[in-house]
Amino acid sequence: MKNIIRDRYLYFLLIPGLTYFLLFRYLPMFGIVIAFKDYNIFKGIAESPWVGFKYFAIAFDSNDFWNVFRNTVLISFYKLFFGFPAPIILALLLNEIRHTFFKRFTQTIIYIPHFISWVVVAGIMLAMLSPTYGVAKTMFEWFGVEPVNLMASVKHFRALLVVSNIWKEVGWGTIIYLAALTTVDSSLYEAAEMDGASKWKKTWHITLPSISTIIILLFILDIGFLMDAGFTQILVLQNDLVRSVSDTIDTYVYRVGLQNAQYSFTTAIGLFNSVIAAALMITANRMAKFFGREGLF
Amino acid sequence: MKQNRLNVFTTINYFFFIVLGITMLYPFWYIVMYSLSDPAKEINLGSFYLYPNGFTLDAYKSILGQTFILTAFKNTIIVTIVGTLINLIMTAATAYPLSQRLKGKSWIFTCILFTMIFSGGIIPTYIVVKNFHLVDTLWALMIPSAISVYYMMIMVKFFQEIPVALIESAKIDGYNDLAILFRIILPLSPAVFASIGLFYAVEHWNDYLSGTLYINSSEKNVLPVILKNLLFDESLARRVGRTTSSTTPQTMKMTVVVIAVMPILLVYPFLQKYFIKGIMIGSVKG
Repeated sequence: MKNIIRDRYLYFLLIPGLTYFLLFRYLPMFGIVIAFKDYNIFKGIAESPWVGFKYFAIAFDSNDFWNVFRNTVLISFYKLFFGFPAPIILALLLNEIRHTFFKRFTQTIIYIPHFISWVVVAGIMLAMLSPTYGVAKTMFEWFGVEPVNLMASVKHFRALLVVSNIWKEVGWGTIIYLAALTTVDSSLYEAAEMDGASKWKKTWHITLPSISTIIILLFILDIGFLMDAGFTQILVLQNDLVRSVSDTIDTYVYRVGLQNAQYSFTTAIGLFNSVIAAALMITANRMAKFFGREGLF
Repeated sequence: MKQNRLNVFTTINYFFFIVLGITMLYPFWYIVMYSLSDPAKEINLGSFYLYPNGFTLDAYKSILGQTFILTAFKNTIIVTIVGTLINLIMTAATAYPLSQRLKGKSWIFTCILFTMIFSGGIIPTYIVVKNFHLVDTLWALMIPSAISVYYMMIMVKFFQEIPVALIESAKIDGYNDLAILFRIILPLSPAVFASIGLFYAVEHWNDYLSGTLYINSSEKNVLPVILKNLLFDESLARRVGRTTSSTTPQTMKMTVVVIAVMPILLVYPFLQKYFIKGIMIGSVKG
């Protein structure tokens, strides 16, 4: 009690922030109950009748749900598989560049795309990939192939999502790994050099283990966010033609929940999503600790 | 032998990064050139747009004369400036106490970090915002996202680095915590405020999600939403598009894209060192 009085100003400063978390992060968590009710906007949350697991049952029974679930997992997996190693490799390669100006200049350029919005990226993609107006038309002609609208093609859309995501985010990841690389003890390299180690051996035995902590940390974060396969990106880029392969849990909840007003059904799905995401994150964190590394928490 | 292998590798490495740099920059060049080109010229179909073919500012003149674009632009600026201010004040006010010795601190940390793992979801959050009567106001774009836990942790880390001796001696001199905050901590913090402020600002400028989610009236729309609608709604694009003989829906779209992205591209070279600083504080442990 004495401590609270002594630190009263600190507690006072915390009030706005804690109120924010209470109202806009924790209060919605209570709103999750509508997944177990037949939510009626007019009756409000409290008056809407309980229906137990009805909507979960409907979800698990519906093709739509499993389709969307499959898309979420697949797209996340592709992004992880191709997108996670990319910045690490780039950072390792960039680290080998001795020319300081070139190194810094390249860094500056490759992470510009991180700061623009997905809508702008969509605009760029629409322009360049248009089979009638865009550069893609010429590229198709060079390869002697019929121009196809890649953005409306079920076969190509997921690849488009993965590639555009890499284009946008690889620079950002590279900066983080580069920062980690600067902390590696250079005397280790000198010792290896004296032992006659090749570049590859140095990378494998010194560099990678030294940055393994941050690699694992970022990997945990990515696994934790597996169930978010890129909400804004897909929301902006997708269209009716490719929905079957690109609709993820989030975009489905957004469309069917808000626009079709199926609140309880989609909240149930959303809850399923959040629970899996939390479980994934906790598991990944445990596994990191199990392997002797620090976790995120 | 080793010299040769090194040289080959080095050359390929440099070449690789030159190509990568071009891959990152060319798309921007493309859309700027596209927006300045005259679409009537046949040669432009499928062109690489290395330079504007049939230079014309018609698209820009036309777009900048349209009210709905200017309104969206204005709204986005308001949200970015006011929103970032709110972000910084709220984030700093929460981060500072958590960087000091405080009873119950770890409990508070747990509660805050928990929100990173688990959230209410889109629908419940929307319902909460609606019940606070924030829907269809610009506040909905600034308040529900007032504090990012990630950025807050960066601030906490930064504040923790401030020498304890400084704070201790101020306390001996009779400063209370608020005075310490304003007279010692904040003057030492422009770097972190610049970094985090920029991160928040960029997020506001680019925010499409909040705009679509919460705004219904056209006069409160923000730029990302307008842009997305223009890009994907052909009838809207056509209405905006054929205002002169040198403009088409496509060039108009590109013009709006350029307008939306220009502020960031222009400001970026000058501010990018702040972005890097922010990442450094956040990611290098200990």
